[in-house]
Amino acid sequence: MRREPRHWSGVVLVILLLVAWEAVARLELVRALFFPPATAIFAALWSLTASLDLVREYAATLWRAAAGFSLAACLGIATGVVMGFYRPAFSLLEPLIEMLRPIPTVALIPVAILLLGIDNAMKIFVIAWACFFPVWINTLEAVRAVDKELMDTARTFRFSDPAILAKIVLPFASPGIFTGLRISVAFALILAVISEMIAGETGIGRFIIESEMAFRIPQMYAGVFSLAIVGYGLNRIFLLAEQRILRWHYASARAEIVS
Amino acid sequence: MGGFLEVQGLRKEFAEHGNLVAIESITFSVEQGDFVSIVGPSGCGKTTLMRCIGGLSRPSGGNIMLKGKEVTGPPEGVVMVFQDYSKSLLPWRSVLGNVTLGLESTGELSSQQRVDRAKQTLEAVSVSGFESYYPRQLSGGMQQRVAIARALAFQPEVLLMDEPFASVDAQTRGELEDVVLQIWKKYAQTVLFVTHDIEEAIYLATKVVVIGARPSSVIDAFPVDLGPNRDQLTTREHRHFLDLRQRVYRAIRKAKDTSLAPQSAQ
Repeated sequence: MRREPRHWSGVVLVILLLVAWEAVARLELVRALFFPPATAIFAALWSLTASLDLVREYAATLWRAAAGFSLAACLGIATGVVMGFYRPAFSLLEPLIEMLRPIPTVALIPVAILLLGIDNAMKIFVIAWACFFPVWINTLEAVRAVDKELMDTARTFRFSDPAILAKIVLPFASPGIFTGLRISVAFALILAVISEMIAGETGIGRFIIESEMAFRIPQMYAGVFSLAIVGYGLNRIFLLAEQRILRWHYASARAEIVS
Repeated sequence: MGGFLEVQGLRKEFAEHGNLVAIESITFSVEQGDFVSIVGPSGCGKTTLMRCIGGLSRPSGGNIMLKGKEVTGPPEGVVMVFQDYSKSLLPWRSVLGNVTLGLESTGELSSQQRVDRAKQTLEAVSVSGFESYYPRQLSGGMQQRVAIARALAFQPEVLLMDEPFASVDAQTRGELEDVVLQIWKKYAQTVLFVTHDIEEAIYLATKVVVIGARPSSVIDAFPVDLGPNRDQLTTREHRHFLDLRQRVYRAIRKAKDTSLAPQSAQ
C-alpha cells in the first residue's frame, strides 16, 4: 500500500489568508470596529471555549443536528432502498418526493414554527427535512445501479428478497449511501444554525445573533470561525469512518493486479 | 420424452424491443451427466436460452422441463456462471467470501463447513493462496476461476455456463477448459456450455447443439465420440475432431445463409 505524500500547500494558504486578515485589520483598511484582527478573534474563541460557553452552545446545536440527521438517515436509506428495489414503490413515491425536494427548507421554517413551536421539535424537523433528500437520492441511485449480473448471481443461488437486500443491494449501494450521508452532515449543521437564528434561546446560531446585537464583535466572529472548525472536523471524522467501513471500496480502487 | 432436461418448443419474444423474436423455437434434450455445448452465430439467442433454462427469464412459449418439473423460476440445484465475471463477483467480499456466498442461501452448512468447502473448491480450480484477496486484485482468468469455484462449491446438479471464457486470453482459455473438464469428470454434474467457438464446443462436450441465427431454432445436434480423456494437443488433431469441426462449421454457415435469404429477397 502506497501513501500519498502529504501536501501542505492547502494549510499554508489558510495561514496566509489569516495573516492577510490580520494585516487588513491592523492597518485599519476596513473599519476596525466591525473587522477585528484574526488574533483578537482567536483570543475570543479561546476564552469562550475555556469558559465552556461555546461548549454549552455546541452541546445544544450538535444534539439537534445529530437527532435530525439520524432521523433523516434512517428514513432516507429506507425509502431509497425500497424505491430502488420495488418498482411500484418508486412509481408511487417518486412524484411526491420530487415535488417536495425543490422547496428550500428555510421556507418551511415559518410553517414548522406554527405547527411545532420554536423549540427542539421544530428544529429537528427542519434539519431532518433538509438531510433527507441527499441521503434518499444517493441511496436510490446507488440501489438502481446494482449490476444485473450481481442480481442474477443472487437469484441463481435462490436467495430470498430480504437476503438479496442484505447481501447484495446494501453492500453494493453503501459507497453511494455514504456520499449522501456526508452531504447531509453539512446540511444538518447549516439548518441547525439557521433555525436557531430564527427562533429559540440556545445554540451556536443564537449565540452569533446575540453577540452581534450586543455588539460583541470579536465574539460574533469567534462563533463563525468555530463553525468552520467544527464543520471541517465533522467532515474529517465522517471520511475516516467511511474509509474504515468501506475498506473494500478503497482497496479495490487502488488494486494492483496479481496474476 | 421424460429425459433429464427437456427444452420443448421454447420461444422468446422481447415486447420492449418491438416484439423482437429472439428465439423462434428450440427443442433439444439433455441426459443426466451430459456435457452439452451450444454453438451458434453471435446474436442467436444463446444467452437468452441459458437464462430461460436457469429460470432467470420466462419463455414466451413452449416449456422447459427439468426432471419432469416445469422451470418457472431458478430451479434447485441449477447454477449459472456468467460471461461477465468481473461484474458477477462481489467486490466487497474476499475471494473466500465470494465462494461461500452460494452456500449461505441454503443454511445447510455451518460457517466453518462453508469455509472448508470453499477452500477445497478453490484448490480444485487452482486458486489456493488467494483467499483473502479482493476480486479486483486478481487477473481476469483468476476472477473467472473464482466465479466457477463459487458455482462448483454449491455442488449443483446442473451447471450452466454462458460463454464463460469469452473475455480471457487464449492461453488462459485453454487452462480453464481443462479445469472445467476435470471438475466435470470429478463431480459428474450435467453441464450446458454456451460458446461461439466451434473447437471449444467440440473439445469439451459429449454433444454439440447448433443453433441458427435469429429468430433461432436448433439446426442440428452432433454427438461427440472423443471419450472422457481429452488433451489440448492430441484431441484437437484427432480425425474425428477435425471431421466434426467441418460438419459443425457447415451447419452454422448454412444457418447463416438461410437466415439471410429472406432479407436479400426484399
